[in-house]
Amino acid sequence: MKLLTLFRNASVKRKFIYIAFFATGTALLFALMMSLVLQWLLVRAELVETVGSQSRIIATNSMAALEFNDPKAATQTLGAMGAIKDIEFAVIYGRDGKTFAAYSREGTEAPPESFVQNGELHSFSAKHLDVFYPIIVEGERIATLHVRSSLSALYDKLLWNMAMLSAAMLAGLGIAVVLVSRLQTIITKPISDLVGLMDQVSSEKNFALRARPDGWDELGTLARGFNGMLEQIQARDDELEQHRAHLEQLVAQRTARLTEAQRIAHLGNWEWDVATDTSEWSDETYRIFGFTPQQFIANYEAFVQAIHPEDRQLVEDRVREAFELGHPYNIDHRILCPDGSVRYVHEQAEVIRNENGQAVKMLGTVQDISERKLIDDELMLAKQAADKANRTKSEFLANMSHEIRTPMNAIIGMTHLCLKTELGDKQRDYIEKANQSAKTLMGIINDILDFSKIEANKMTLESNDFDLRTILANMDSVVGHLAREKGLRFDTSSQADVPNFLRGDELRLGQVLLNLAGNAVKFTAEGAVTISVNLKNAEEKVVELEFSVRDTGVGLSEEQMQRLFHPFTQADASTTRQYGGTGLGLVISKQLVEMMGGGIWAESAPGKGSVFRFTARFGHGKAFAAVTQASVESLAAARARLRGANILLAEDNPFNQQVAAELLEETGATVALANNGREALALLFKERFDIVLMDVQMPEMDGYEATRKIRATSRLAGQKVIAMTANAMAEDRERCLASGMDDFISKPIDPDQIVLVLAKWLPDRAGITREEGLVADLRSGKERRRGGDRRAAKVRMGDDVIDLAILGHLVSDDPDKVRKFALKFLETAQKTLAEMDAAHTSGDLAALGGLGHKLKSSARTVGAMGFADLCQALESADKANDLSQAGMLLRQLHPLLERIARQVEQETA
Amino acid sequence: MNKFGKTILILLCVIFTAGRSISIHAAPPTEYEVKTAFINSITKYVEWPSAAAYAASTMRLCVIGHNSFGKALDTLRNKKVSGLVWEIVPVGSETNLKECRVLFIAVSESGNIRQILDGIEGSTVLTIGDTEGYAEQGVMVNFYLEDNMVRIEINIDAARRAGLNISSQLLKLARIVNQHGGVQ
Repeated sequence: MKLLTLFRNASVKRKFIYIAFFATGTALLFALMMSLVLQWLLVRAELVETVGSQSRIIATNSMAALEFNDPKAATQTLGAMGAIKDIEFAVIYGRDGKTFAAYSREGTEAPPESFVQNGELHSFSAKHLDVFYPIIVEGERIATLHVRSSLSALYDKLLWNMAMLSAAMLAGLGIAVVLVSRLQTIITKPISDLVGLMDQVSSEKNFALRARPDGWDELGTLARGFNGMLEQIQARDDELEQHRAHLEQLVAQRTARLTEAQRIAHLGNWEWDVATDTSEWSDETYRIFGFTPQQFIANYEAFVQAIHPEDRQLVEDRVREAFELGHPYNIDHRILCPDGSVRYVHEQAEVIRNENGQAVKMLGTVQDISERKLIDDELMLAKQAADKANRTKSEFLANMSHEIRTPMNAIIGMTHLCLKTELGDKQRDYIEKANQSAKTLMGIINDILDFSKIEANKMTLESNDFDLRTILANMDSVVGHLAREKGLRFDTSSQADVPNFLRGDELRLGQVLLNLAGNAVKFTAEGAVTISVNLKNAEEKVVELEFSVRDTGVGLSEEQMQRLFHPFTQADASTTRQYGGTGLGLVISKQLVEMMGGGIWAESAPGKGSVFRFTARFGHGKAFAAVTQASVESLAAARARLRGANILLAEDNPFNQQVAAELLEETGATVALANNGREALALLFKERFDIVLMDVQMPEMDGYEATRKIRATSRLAGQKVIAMTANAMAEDRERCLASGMDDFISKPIDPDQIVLVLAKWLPDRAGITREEGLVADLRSGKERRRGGDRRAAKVRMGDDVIDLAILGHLVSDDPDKVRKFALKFLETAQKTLAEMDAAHTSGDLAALGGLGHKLKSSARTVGAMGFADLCQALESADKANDLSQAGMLLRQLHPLLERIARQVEQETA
Repeated sequence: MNKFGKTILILLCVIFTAGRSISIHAAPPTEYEVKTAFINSITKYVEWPSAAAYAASTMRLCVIGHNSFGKALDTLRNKKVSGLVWEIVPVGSETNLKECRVLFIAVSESGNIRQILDGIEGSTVLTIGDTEGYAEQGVMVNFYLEDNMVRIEINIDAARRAGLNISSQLLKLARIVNQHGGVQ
């Protein structure tokens, strides 16, 4: 094995010599052996022949001696053998096997005395050749000649031959080796030349060198192949060189671009080698930190020193977390620049780990976010201020609750009391309307305030013992009455296992039920409304009930249902027109139910009726004697409070002036009129008013400005100002409050609302009792129901251009008044249209817009909603400065007014 | 052949062919038995000229005078030597001696020796005798005893005269005698 390795690593020259040596040596050795063997055989045969022929002669010559029994003569004959020195002895044995005659060389072994014939003619032993020659006379064997020859001479001869041959072989071997070592250069020289060239190429990297091929044998081909290879390498080298140059250029280009991008983005990158604690920073990183690469050794300690002292701990903690816990390194912190300035930077980095999970590097970016940080901080401050303002406002509104209700109670109570006195028909009608309006208003304000409370997180639930049956009875009397008047069946039922006595907020539970049941009645034209209560879950301390309010009304689409419980939405916008309401009822109900530990949902399909269900959790209540009526603040009380009040109404629309004035006068209030803010101010300086009802949009001086002036006048300190606005949006409300108004009423005027709101801000002069208020409330509820019934009936007609039910609601459904106000509206509208035509002709868009605004308000009051919409579009056309649009609208208003006139004539005749 | 001769023959055969173990126990041969064997052997070393009076296929041995061999000669009967069959003939009056290849002259004829030899003068008869002085008188081969061993003396001139060629091998073993006495 070792030999073989030795051979493998030997040079080609040596290999040739080894091969020659072994090949020649093996051949010669073989030849030597063959030669020796052949010689041995030959010499032996020769010896046998020699001794044999000698024996034959002796035998022939001994024959006569034997025949004539003459041993002496035979011995003499045998003596001839002495001439051959290899012969050790020669013996003739007679017929009897006994020695007849013998010759024996001196100093050798004596021949045996007798002879045993074994048939062999000759035999070899290690030292001798024995020849047995039979002596035959006349076909008769008469004796045997035994000759023994020594082999030592033979051996000597062989030895000598071997020595000679070996010497010849060695000489031949030597010659072969010498010849091969001389001739091998023919083969090995080109190879060693090639190897030398190869070494030169690889050490000098000079691929231009070439081998010189000799001849066309394999070695020549090898050299040519090598040259071809070199050429290819050289070509490839050149190509690579070109690529490299191109890549370098590309890299330089990209690097420049990246540097530029970093500069623009104020974003630098860095790489930190943990083991050596050395960092590589990009130019922009240095720039952000305010250093130059020359003056700063970027290691960890230097980096920490560059951090703002207050942020150092934070940054170091984050770095440690990134290393030890694998947390992402994503951090904003400050740095301290050498010039003393502070910058905000945003850093993001990743820890690079080796295959053992050991952190070896950290790669990251650093961005200068100082500018952004500044803006962020400003924004944060602004947002905090805004949040605070919002909270203050909500708190304010929530606190209003009590103050609003107190005067409302007065109004409702007073009007109720008033209705008990002897009154003329007109007076009674006015007071009834006032009472009804006050109640409506109260409901809406309640909703808004409840919602505000909820928003401000001021809503709290009380916890009293109550009887569920009382609530259901109330429902039956209040809503059930309403339903039955509308021709609907109304039913309440409670499962047997539902406990009667509960502990919770009965008023809020009643509110939710009232809301759902009220809605059910409102949206149901025929069929039934049923309220049922089931026990859902009863525990030791808590009872969970499920309430269902089922109706057979218009139903809701999937889309409508999704929006149901969101603020300020009803099933759709048209619903508001048709059914009124703030759209807050369900939102409040939802909040209340959730506060009671339950949930609310609806099941419905358009035209299939609806089921509103909610769950609520109560405690177990103590049994007590049921109270017949729950105390509620009433519209009647509010009406009562309005009686005798001195009210200034600032309103530019004469039609609205009259409606509002009559409405308020019915409650017993005194009403003074002003056509704009200026007039109102003038009157206020002359006279004291309990309250000013201020339209916000008026010519010359609008309501906001007038109010600001009032607030700026010390003489008028404490003056109550209530806004009237067509937009009951939160922002209008805020604007009103901001200009110093105490409250607001949304237009078109709802009699109940106006009474309730006004009453709230008036002192309780009449001292209305709770009981009276309650009675008044029930009555006004009844009246409202009647109005609702009428309205619902009208809905079915369709194709209406005017909904007189709205006007009817305003005037307590007094047919005479409806007709009166409707005709008054028609008259006003005719006059205004003429003015509009004139304004249009003269191209006075501003005048046209103002007239549109005025007419819109009146149209809404009488329920001509389509007409009002056109007027509003006209108003918008002014703002958009679109005369042609105004003309087109104007052309539509004329025929519409004619249709309104026809309908009014038909319905009020 | 008589019964006794037969027995001798078998015995001889056994002795010559069976080797030592048998011959140890055999009686040593008598003088005439040895002489008979010698006569047989001598014929092998003698060359007769081809054209002669004697029969080509037989080896005729004529015995003249008193036959002292007894039965010994009978052993030769029917035996062949050099391809010829032995024929033993006692010489009578009408016997043509020239027809004999071998003539044994007994001791009883010592007085007539001259006449006998003259009678076969010019012929190729090998003469053998066992009487002292015969060789000097012209008998070609004569037996004599030396240390109780039968020895041979040869008158080589007599043989040459008769045209017989005696092998040197035989001559080497024999005592050569001249015509006129004296031993060579």
